[in-house]
Amino acid sequence: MPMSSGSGDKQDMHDQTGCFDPNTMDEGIENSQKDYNTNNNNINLEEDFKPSVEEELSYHNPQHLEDVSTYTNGFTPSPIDIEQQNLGLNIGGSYNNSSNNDMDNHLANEVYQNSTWDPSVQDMDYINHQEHHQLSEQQYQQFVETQNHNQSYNPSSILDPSYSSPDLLNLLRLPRCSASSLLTTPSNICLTNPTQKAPNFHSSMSFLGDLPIGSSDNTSGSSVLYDPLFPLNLPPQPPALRELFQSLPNGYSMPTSSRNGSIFGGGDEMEGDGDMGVLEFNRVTASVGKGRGKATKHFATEKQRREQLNGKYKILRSLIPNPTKVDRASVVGDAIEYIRELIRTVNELKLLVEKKRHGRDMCKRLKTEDDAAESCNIKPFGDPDGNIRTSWLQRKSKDSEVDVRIIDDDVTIKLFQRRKVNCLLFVSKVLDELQLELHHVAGGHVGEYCSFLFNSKVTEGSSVYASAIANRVIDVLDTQYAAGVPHTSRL
Amino acid sequence: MEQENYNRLNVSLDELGFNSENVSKTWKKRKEYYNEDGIRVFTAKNLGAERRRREKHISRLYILRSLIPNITKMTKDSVITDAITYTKRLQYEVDTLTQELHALEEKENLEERAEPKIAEYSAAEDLNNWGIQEEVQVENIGENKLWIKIIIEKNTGRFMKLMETMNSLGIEIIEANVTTIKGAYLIVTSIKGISFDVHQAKHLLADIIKSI
Repeated sequence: MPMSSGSGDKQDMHDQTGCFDPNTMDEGIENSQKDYNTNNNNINLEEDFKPSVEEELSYHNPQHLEDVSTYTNGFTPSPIDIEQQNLGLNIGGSYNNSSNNDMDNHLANEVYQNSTWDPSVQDMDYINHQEHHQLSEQQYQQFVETQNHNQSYNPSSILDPSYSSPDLLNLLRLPRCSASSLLTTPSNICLTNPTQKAPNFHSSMSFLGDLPIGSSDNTSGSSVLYDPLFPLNLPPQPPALRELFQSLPNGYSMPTSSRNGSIFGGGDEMEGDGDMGVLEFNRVTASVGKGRGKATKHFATEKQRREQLNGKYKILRSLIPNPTKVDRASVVGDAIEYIRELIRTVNELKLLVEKKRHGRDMCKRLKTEDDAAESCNIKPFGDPDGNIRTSWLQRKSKDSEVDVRIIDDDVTIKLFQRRKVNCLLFVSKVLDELQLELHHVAGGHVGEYCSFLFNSKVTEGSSVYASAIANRVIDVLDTQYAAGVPHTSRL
Repeated sequence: MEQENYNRLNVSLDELGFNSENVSKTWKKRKEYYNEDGIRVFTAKNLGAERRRREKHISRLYILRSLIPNITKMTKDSVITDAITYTKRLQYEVDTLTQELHALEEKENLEERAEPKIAEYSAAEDLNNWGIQEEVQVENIGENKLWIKIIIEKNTGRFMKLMETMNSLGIEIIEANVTTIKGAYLIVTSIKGISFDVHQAKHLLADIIKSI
């Protein structure tokens, strides 16, 4: 989507981002300008940024308050949010260009004066963006579709290669997307320049996890890996990362979250003898081989990569409902099962929603034609593609396993309980609550275990779905057992 | 050769205190020896098991890859990464759809109150039509164990009530078999924990059935 721009560079950037959400793109461009401004002047973002923004707030166009409201929709405010809000206001104002030409020019000038962006870094970003462009674009288009279109978060915008300062941009935008995932950040990688007010920055931004600081002097090749987008395979891919590493001047380090900013390997390696990192490397270098510089450099990135990979396995494991073993192969196995189950559930739910939407109309029509009793048994024609609803999932808890299969109207629940609780009673209660008509029950106690099978039918018009059933059953069983319901006396 | 290097690297990592599961496991199985140059070299004791485990892992990764729609890079890392993304996306979709379903359901509930209810299926009619009689049969099958057969008219929630009552009386169900036939429940259970004899049990059950 072509936009008016003041320079050739910007024009290029716009062309590349033609497919992205125009809203965020507008704001994004302005963001990048802003980022240049603050990036290069202020390390301590919060303190210095706010006053400048507030200054410019006076120019803002009130029409664009709407945009801001979407930003803060549903998210708890935080300092970053407020900043973003200010930005949003500002952006809307400045972009509107009606009365804000002065500010725009001012910004543009500042940008070009203070720009110290290293072309090599830019290339790296570009490479990464190209690599991930296809991958993420599709995904995020879909992602965006499923989201409320009013929401401001658009991950695809972050991959916009026009954003030459991805770090601060991400810094400002990322927190919004999922505040909850802030708390579950296992691994972050960022490049920071330890010699520059790093501690300040970290403390002020600590709630965001580790975030990069663009260096003010030279090649800071910053790349952001932020957890909400971490799995999106944003910037560093290992090869790029290695290049990056090699391009870092002395004194740069690559802390990971596990080390909390401590310096290891990285820059020190390149200098030659360093601190802790290298002490241990001494032992290794003999066995790894000669040529210290290259081998250890690769070594460090290998380590980095390996840690990254382990972190990813952990994340994957955390997503899965019933993880059993910790080792990688079973994590992958569980993930496979879970993804298949999720796909089935999504299909089931989609079908149910469709049925709900069309079924109502169908039912009304049928009632006028035949008896009420007849219409109950007629399946609505509303199925858009004639699919029968099928679903299957399993849930395991400490003492119970539940297997729920649904084919059209028939629900089959298999139950396996490792303790002696009166399963029959509780499950039949649950079935009643869920409006499932019991047709067949079989099972019994075998030693310490009890195992049952329930066949039931979904009452017409009810839209109960598989995972609801499974979760209810498991909950009931677990709570009943935990509540220590006294089992019947044995004589 | 590759294996050796791999092992060396793992050893180094291990010495540095890095513990990936693979590393630590192969470490334990390692047998140390000195090769010709006098340099300490480690190899895994059971390469076979290690290899098999790796194959299992890799084949599973392939399966995972096949499930995921958008993958560009074919590396192990990117498979995992994409799996994470895809899973999160699917979870998100499930949540959205669930909410939508609930919203629709609520809307429907509100609307349906205005409409007349559908005539409920009458089980009693069916029973009569087919000549099925309600019945209770009890047999003794051992120490405090009884075998019960019950035929009752099928109504919503009746089975649950039966279970409740039996539970409150301290009756423990060993096994149960319930089927539905033309408006009737056929319940066959073995129970224990009740110290009545056959006749008493029969009367008790008849009372229970009347009460539910």
